[in-house]
Order: sequence, then structure tokens, then C-alpha cells
Amino acid sequence: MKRFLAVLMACTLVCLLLLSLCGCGSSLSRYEAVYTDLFDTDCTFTAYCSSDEEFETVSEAVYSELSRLDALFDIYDGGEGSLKDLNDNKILENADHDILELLDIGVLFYDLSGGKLNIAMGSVLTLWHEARETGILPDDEVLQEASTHCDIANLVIDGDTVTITDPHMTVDVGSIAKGYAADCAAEVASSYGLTSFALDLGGNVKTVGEKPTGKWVIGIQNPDGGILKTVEVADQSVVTSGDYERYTVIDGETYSHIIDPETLYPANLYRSVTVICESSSLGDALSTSLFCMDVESGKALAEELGVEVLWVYEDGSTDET
Amino acid sequence: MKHKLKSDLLLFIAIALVAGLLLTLTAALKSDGSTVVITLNGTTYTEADLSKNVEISVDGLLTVIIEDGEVWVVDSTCPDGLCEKSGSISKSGESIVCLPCGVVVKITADEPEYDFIN
Repeated sequence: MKRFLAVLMACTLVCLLLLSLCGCGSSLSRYEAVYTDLFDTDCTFTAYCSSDEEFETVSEAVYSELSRLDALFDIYDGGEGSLKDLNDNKILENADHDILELLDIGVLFYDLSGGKLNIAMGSVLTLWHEARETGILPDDEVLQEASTHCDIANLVIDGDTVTITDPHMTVDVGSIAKGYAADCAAEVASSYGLTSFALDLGGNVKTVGEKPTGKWVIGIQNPDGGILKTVEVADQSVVTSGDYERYTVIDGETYSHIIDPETLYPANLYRSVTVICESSSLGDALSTSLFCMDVESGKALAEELGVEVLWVYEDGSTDET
Repeated sequence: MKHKLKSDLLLFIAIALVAGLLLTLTAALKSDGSTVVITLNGTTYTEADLSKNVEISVDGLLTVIIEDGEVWVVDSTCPDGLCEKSGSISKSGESIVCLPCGVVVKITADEPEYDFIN
């Protein structure tokens, strides 16, 4: 009897040993694809799939969706039917459904943010874009002149026709396009039956489902290095607008890429603002809006929309909803 | 009979020891199995062990240094030099990006400490 018991225990141990070696459980593996030629940032698609072939197929579909949207929203190199087309010709007939949706989000957030997010300020943003390329600050008078052509009321959407009624006005959707694109790409991946994946479009993370081991773990950077806060989410987006994402140094001064529509200069209230909510479109539009708003108005807006927000100040201190 | 029982016990202890050893070994390997993955224009250029000190020139575009578990970029040919200014990384999930060169340097693990860093 004792011998039998010993053999039984030995067998149990061998089983345990085998389990520990094979990593026990699911047959899903983690896959990752990085695209460096879209949205002027690095995009990562991470997914748990059952085979290499499955991941390859979905990754290609995700890439082509992101690439389609990037071309539509591109104001520098976009082709016919793109926002460059709209900016150049001031009219876009039979506009793509995604362009109409994105412009609607832009107009909605102009109202919600009290004008702190303005997709109609392309004329001002172009000057700052040039400054980042040339290393020369835009002339203040030129900035002021450009700011007289940023009235979002001159962006007229009628059915599927978009018109810009100010000949000097242009749109720039850089502040909301990535979030919208992440939502669209997630829909594509879901349509292939994936239930555990995430998209990271340069600080714009959208998660779908959980990982086989639990929630997705996202670290919010301390601007001076290291991780300031860790958030764990499932089926949520975590979107950060930070001055360390994209900036330029001119005469020793750092200029970030988020321009306050009121001052016409880079907003410098915070180092970063992170929004946690389900929709990545909402997260992206809101994080950019909040980056230019004082914390009290920001908290009120976050509460109204029912989202979580983390503000990180210059000295590394934080504020949250 | 007594003799048999003793050998059974010894066998049991031996197996328990081996199992315990393997369990701790695999656990240790898992947490320390971080890999530095370097991609160029979206495809994997090379992979390296985070724990081995090495210098990797990526197609003459920039050089990746791995030293004592830290990774950073030097000698980049990009105009802005942002990849060099972004400093060193050491945790799985962290990455250094050089868009002009199309290079992404990322620390990965079977189960990274961070899935994403914003």
C-alpha cells in the first residue's frame, strides 16, 4: 500500500514537472507586427493567435485598413478624395464615409472643449510643422494672420459634400485621426474572429478583450524617465497626449506639437494627459483637448463624458479624476 | 519490505528535488528571457539577448548598444537625433523609435512587464 502511494506521488510530481515545462494551458501565442510608415509614428498590432498564418492574415488586413485611412486623412501627400484634396480645392464631393465621420468628431469636440480642439486651424499648424522641419520659429505676425482663418463655422458638411468657405482655411486632423483609425482597425481585426488583441498608434492604445493571462498592462511614462503609473485594462483605450511625443528644440527651448488655439503657441500646462475610456476616437480627441484646458474645466468635461483622466505636471506630480 | 520502502522514499525525494529544481529554473528563465528585437522598415532586422553585452550596427543607419541589461542608440544618421536623446531602456515593453531611419528597438519577453508604454 505504501509502495502504491509512493508511486502515485511520483506520478503526480512527474505530471507537475511536465506541466511546468510546457507552460500549461492555452494554445494561443502572442504575435506582434510593427508598422513604421503610417501616421508619422510607429504603429504596433499585438494579438494572441492560434497560428502564424492566422496572425499574418489579420495583420495584413489591419495594415491595409490603417494605410487606407492614413492616405485619406493625409494633408501633405494625400491623393484624390483625401483631406489634401479638400484643403487644395476647398470642396470634396462624394466624400468618403470615414472622412465625414472624422470631421463630425472634430466639430463635436470643438464645441465640447470650448474651442480648445480645432481641426480648422490647419493654417496655424502648418506654420508650426514648418518650424519643426526648419528649426526656425514662426513669425508672430504671420501666426496672428493665420489665426484669422480658423473659424470652424467655415467648414460646411452637407450630406456627403464638404466645403471650406474661407479660401485661406485648411483642416488638420492630426489630433484625432490616430484614435479614429485605431477604432476602425480594431473592427477589422474583430471581423476575423480575434478576441484578444491591441493596437498602439503612437501613444494611442486600444485593447480588445483580455490577454490569456489577464488584463493588458500599460505604463504611463514619467517624463524624466521610468514609469510613473501602471494601468491595467481590458476592452478600453488608453490615450496619452504628451509633450515628449513629438517636439522640436529651437534655440535651446523645447516646443511640443500640441498648439493651444488661443495662444497659437505650444500648450505647456502639463507634461502629459492620459484618458482611459472605451472609444479610442473619444480618447484621442479628449486627451488633446484636455492638454490645452485648465485642470478644473478638464475635470468637469471628463466627468460629463464619464472617463478617467491622469494629468502629469512639469515636476512629475499628478492629478486624476 | 523495509528495504523497498526506503528505496521508494529515496526515489520520491529524488524526483521531488528534480521537479523543484526544474520549476525554479524555468521560472527564472521566463522572467529573465528578455530579448531585444530590432526591426527595420517593419521587418525584423535582428534579435539579441538583453543579458549579453553587444554593439549592433543597423544597416549603417544607427548603432544599438546593449550593456548590463540596458539598451540605447548612438551614431544615428537621422536629422533630429531624437532616438539618441530618448536615453536607455531596460524593461520589457519599452522601446526606442527612430522614424527617419525606420528602426524600432524593443525589449520583448514571453509575458512582458508592460504591454505598452505611453
